[in-house]
Amino acid sequence: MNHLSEKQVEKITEDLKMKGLTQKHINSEILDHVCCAIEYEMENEKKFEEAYQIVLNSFGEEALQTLQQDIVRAIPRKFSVFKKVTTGFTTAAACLCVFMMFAGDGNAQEKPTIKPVEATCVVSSDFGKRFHPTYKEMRFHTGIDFKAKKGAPVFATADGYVEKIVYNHAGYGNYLIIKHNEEYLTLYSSLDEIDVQQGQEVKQGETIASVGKTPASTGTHLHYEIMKNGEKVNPKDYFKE
Amino acid sequence: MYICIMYSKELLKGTLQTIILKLLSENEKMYGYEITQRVKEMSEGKVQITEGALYPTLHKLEAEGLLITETMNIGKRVRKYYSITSQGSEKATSKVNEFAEFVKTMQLLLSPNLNTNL
Repeated sequence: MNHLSEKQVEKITEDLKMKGLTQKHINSEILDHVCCAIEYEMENEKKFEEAYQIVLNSFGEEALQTLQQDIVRAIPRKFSVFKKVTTGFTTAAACLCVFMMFAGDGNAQEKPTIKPVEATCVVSSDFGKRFHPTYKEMRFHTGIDFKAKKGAPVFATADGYVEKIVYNHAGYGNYLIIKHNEEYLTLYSSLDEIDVQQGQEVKQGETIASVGKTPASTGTHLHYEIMKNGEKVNPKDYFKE
Repeated sequence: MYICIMYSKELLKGTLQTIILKLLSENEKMYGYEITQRVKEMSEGKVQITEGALYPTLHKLEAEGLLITETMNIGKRVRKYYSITSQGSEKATSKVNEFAEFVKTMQLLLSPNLNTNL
């Protein structure tokens, strides 16, 4: 089997860098994969330059740009603590940190403490028993509604990762759920466009979607819910007006 | 998700983990490119796993403790080898059995109904 020379490997690395694919996009594992694919083409009588182009075309530069991100997203968030473990001692330390995080003494940014919309948007419908404007009867409102224009930005109210995205739900319309930790989940519904993907890590304040409407609602608004230990709680207790 | 010449994406979507775990349970260690080549050979060219599908899956399985890795320097290149753990081996067996059961069930559902009342 032909092995690429060190010079050829350097040429590949340099060329990829020029295309904007630095080590951030192409780690050593992916580089090795690219080199193996080139060696395979060269086994089939192709010269180095030609083999390189064939491989680059078959991979697709766009796919290479997002590959590293896809790898990170594939790993469930709770496992990222254990990725850093290398010895028994650090395992114990990591376990202690995780336990404390789950016990509620964790990073304050995992608790939803901000408004999911711009400060100017007011609450149009409160949490709890209310008269439903469309169904014309008393119902328990499991979250709060913010009045907002169509397309207004929706923000993640705490750090976490996108657990679920659903389109065209009969009641919620387009919605997504973010998992922050074992205690807190937040739900954002009546969305127009969703800017994140399932599994994506998000930070508090990051734009995740835009405001839309649901089939049953009277106007564009964001419906927002907080679940603490599986129970729906009043989001108004969590942010400062 | 993977490039496949013979079968639809949907059909293969749930089986990539099973394929990788089974392959690694029968080999001491393999690196990414080697896995794609072996799967291509064994499937007679019908299943070609893209790196976009392979690496996220490998890293997920590693994070779940089903695979472990070791790296080896080959000149300027660094090659990462994947091996299966005992937990991974158990998972491989259960996933293979689950798939075999699934195939049996599908055959029941999809085989022609010969008991027609004429």
